[in-house]
Amino acid sequence: MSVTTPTIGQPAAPGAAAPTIDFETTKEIGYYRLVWRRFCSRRVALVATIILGVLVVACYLGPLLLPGDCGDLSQISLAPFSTGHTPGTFCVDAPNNFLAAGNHFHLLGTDDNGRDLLVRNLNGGRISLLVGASAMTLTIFIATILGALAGFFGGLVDTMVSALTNAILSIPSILVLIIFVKTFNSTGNAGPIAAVGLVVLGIAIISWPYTARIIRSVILSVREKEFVEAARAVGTSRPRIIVRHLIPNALGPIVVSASLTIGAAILTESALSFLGYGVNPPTPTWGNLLNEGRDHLNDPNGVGFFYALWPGFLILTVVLCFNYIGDALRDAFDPRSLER
Amino acid sequence: MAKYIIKRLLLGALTVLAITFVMFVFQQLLPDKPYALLLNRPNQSQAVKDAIRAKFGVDEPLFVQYFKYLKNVSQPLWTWWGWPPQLPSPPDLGESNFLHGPVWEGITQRAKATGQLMITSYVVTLLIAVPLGILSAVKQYSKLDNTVTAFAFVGISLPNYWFGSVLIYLLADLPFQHNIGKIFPASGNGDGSIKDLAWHLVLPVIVLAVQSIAGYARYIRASMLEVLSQDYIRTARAKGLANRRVVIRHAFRNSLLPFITLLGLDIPTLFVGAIVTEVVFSWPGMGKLFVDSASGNDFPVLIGIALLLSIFVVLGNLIADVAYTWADPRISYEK
Repeated sequence: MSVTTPTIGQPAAPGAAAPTIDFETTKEIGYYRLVWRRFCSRRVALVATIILGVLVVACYLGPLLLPGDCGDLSQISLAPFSTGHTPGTFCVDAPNNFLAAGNHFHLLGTDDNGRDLLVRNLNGGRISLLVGASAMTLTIFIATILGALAGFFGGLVDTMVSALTNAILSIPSILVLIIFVKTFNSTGNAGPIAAVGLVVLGIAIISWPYTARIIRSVILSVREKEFVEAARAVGTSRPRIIVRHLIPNALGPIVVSASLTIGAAILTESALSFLGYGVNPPTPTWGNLLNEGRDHLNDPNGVGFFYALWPGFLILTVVLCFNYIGDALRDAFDPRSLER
Repeated sequence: MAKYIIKRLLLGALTVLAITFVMFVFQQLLPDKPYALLLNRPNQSQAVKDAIRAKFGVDEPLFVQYFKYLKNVSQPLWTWWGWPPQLPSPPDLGESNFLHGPVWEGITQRAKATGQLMITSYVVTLLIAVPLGILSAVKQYSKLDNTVTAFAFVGISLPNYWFGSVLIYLLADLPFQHNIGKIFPASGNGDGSIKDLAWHLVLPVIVLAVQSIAGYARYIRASMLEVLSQDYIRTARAKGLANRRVVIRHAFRNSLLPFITLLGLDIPTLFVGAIVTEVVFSWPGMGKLFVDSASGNDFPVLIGIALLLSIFVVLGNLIADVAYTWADPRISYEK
């Protein structure tokens, strides 16, 4: 069950046994280095990683280097929840700048409050990426615990987790999310941190079942293996068996679904913001910007169409990158899928 | 088999009950109740307040309300009873606060528009995705295959409301501004004639289809590749069958098996796509009704839609699983 010549001390990879892999499996290199090499052999995935890296750096550091919303450097904040705009203040040159087209000073133009759209897009990226990353972390956390418990103990635990999984999968996720946000933030007055937290929690609640199912099936298949029996024979406690012997074997699927979950979470958040149930404005997210921009699609002069174009394009790029990376990771962890 | 079906139906009923109950609790948690304004009048006597609460059915404990709701919903199961037997009356999902009428009527009126949109886009999806998937599997790693794969990745990652807005701008608003007239209408579902309906369907169907073609083509490709590597395909080729016949008769038919499950699982995702798409194109269907009701705190409608939908999903999954055993006798749910 591991690579053809297993190296000592490396956990066995589920499904990594494929005699026909043309990679350097016979050399004495570690499993994870092998995975890394296979990942690097996918040029698309590398490009996606680089693009993503550039975007993340741009979103978190970019607003520092640019003139603020109004070209005022004092209004810039690195805090992830910064709207980039102090409430109650107005841009000095705003009246001349409403919905201006891109120029040398405001590269992407300005929005309907005279704020710089490039800065707002980057600030929105902070929130959107943050929502994606935290929703992913929470999802993987819940899914790993419940999936491992269901797979290891079986019986009543398994039945209960499966019932919960099926119940959540039985209603379309965006429906659940709308009702969830509606119930706990019905006035839309929640502060930015509470609003982001609510959206993150909602996304995690609807997306853990997918990952939990995968983890459960991996644990189920590994549970009866000899090395688990050996661990049990030497008296290893059950929590230790789960954490040290079973979950590492599910690492591949966990990493893959982590990557895919971030992309899906960003997409869900923006759809939710678009419908008006996401993080409430003025906190910028890509979904919010897109929603605001949609009202100005037809403005004949000025920023018009591009107001809505950029945030959507950024969402598409980021989600595409995460999907490519997830796909490459799947191939890297499970070489059998390469044969196809 | 019968035992399995009954077990699944019972589990499904439990799921549906759980979903509606959670929605009921959520309704109670809502800070601004739809009838709150009526109760805030000055000089309102307690009797009037009680009457208003009774009218909205909230004068009783939560569980009593819930059981009353279940009794009304299950109406078609028992209203035919009696002599002479009558036609069962439709389920009573309560009164909508905003539609000024029964929820059931509101939903069934909108269901038609949703059906038109979903069925059209589904047919378009299958017509394009199935040949694409087969071709890219047969010609693996060819230019066509790589193009389809790249397209599929973009399609899966595309924010569909954004895509819809861009389409509206480019194909409806921009030509209109330049006095060409709208190439395609941007909203609504037409004046009722079939020609106008088809005209209005174009843009939303493109948005829905691009997304699902991406997923389906990839799925069919993977499933075809799996089958094409099987021994019986080699046997079929070895005995000298034409390539076309091998692909269509031997490979494609077998690759359809996992597809059955996908069909059953896809009902909810199809609806999700439709919620956002319906809002973008102001399509007067269930998805739009749901979003409108959510913004108006119209919980009876929300619960009604969620209830009907989860019933469909449970039944869809069950039918898919049963159809799977029928199509592939190697699978059995009996232990």
